[in-house]
Amino acid sequence: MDKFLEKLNKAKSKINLSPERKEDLYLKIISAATEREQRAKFAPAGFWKLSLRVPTTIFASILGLMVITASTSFAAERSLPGDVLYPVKRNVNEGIMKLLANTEVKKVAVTTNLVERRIAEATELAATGRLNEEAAVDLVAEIENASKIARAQVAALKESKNISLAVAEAGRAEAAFKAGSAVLRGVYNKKNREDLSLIENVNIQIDSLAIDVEEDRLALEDSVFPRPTPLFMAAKMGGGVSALSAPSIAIEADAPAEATSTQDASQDEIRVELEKTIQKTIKSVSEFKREGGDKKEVERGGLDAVSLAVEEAEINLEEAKKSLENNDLGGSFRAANQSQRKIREAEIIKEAEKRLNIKLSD
Amino acid sequence: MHNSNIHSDTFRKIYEEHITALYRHAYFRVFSKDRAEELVQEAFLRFWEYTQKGGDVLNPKAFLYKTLTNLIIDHSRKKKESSLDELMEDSDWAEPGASENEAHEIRSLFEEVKGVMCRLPKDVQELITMKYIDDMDIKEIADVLKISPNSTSVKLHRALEKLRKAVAEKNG
Repeated sequence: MDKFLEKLNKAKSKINLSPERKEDLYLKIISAATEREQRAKFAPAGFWKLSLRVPTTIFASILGLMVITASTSFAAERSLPGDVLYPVKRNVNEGIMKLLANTEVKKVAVTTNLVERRIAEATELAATGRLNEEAAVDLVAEIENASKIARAQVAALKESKNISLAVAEAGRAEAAFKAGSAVLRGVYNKKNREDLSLIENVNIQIDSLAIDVEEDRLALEDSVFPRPTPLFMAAKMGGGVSALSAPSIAIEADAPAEATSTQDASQDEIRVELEKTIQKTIKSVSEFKREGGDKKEVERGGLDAVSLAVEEAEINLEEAKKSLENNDLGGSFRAANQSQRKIREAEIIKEAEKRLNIKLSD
Repeated sequence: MHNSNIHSDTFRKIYEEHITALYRHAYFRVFSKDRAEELVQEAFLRFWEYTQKGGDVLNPKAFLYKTLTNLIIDHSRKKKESSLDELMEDSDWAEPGASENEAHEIRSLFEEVKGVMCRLPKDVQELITMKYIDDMDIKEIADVLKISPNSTSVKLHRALEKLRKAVAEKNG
């Protein structure tokens, strides 16, 4: 019995919430409370009192209407362009999403989510043979528009000095495009129909928008940590310039006019942040591996798209750790961000695979 | 604490004070980190809503534990059909970054703890968790259960007997 109590005590010491998890949970509680308050506004307390005064049939009709509205809104979530409920999805559901985004970061997140939704719709239409020219043109225009808004919102985040958040959100948008492109490419590879050129065209547009967002993200990363110049790299590899003087060369040559984060935060703070990011991504990688087993070899001998993204995340994690050990904070920052983006891509692809019920090989 | 419509700063303070203990309590009742988080989140939400509607909470700790306990009971009713094996698969004990040996050791530890706890009736699990995981004294347990300290002592004594038997059965 005593031995068991000792073990219970030991097990207890292993169960803790990290400060970040605590904070996440707190934010979730607050956001859920806000959401419930919003919902409660649609059915104020007086509603039930009213129900006692009006005849049962009228009350039942009102209640029935409310149930129908809620279930319509829910059912609309799975609708695609051309479906009867699609306008409900676009105007009601997404309108509420936009209304509830009350901070700059949430606004970018919603816009990125809209990009993901439009790409998912294009993919689903393509997979079911329903992608026609009109739908393709409309969806590409919507994706392009959402992309423009997301880029402007990321730029606004940067202006308000939230550069690290801007990098993270630009990364999320980039992941949305790249994952969407991978899924659409997977559908293209699996199909043998007349609409292949249409799918290819949509994919080209998405890839081109991905490049724009990627460029934004690279510029943002460079404004945090100036990228080493070829001269610096040459010095590092034993060239003519002393490696000790190289970082200043890199900053002089590459740093944009605005302040770098190294001026705002101490090296130690940056190191701590990077360690946190790395730990968080390690956790995500191990969760993926636990859920999906190790790399799954697919028929053609390649990796499936999710495993491939997770593998790339792992490689970048190693790079991020190595760079951190070598005190190369910029290198670690870039690799850690890349790793996070790959995890996000894996999440999106996994979700799409579930929705389309297909496994995508690379 | 008479605090109808509590301020968010007070809520934050109460959250900071109790979150870890409540999370541990939930974990040792459901043995899943994700579910423990969901249950604790719901308990705090209900506390917030209750106070926002003007409810008086004299003892936030007892209120939160009582709410959490009710949520755990609802949760276990819904999960009644799950076998122990399913519940084991559901768990996520290995910490990221742990070596294979460490992960194996931790897994065995939790499997043993869970193996014994799952043999106990729900009310006994609750008492053992409050006593040994939450380190509550008789009065605190009595406050949560809303029974007298004397009855609590008797219940706890019986619970310990059942725990002793469960340990012996598991080892024998």
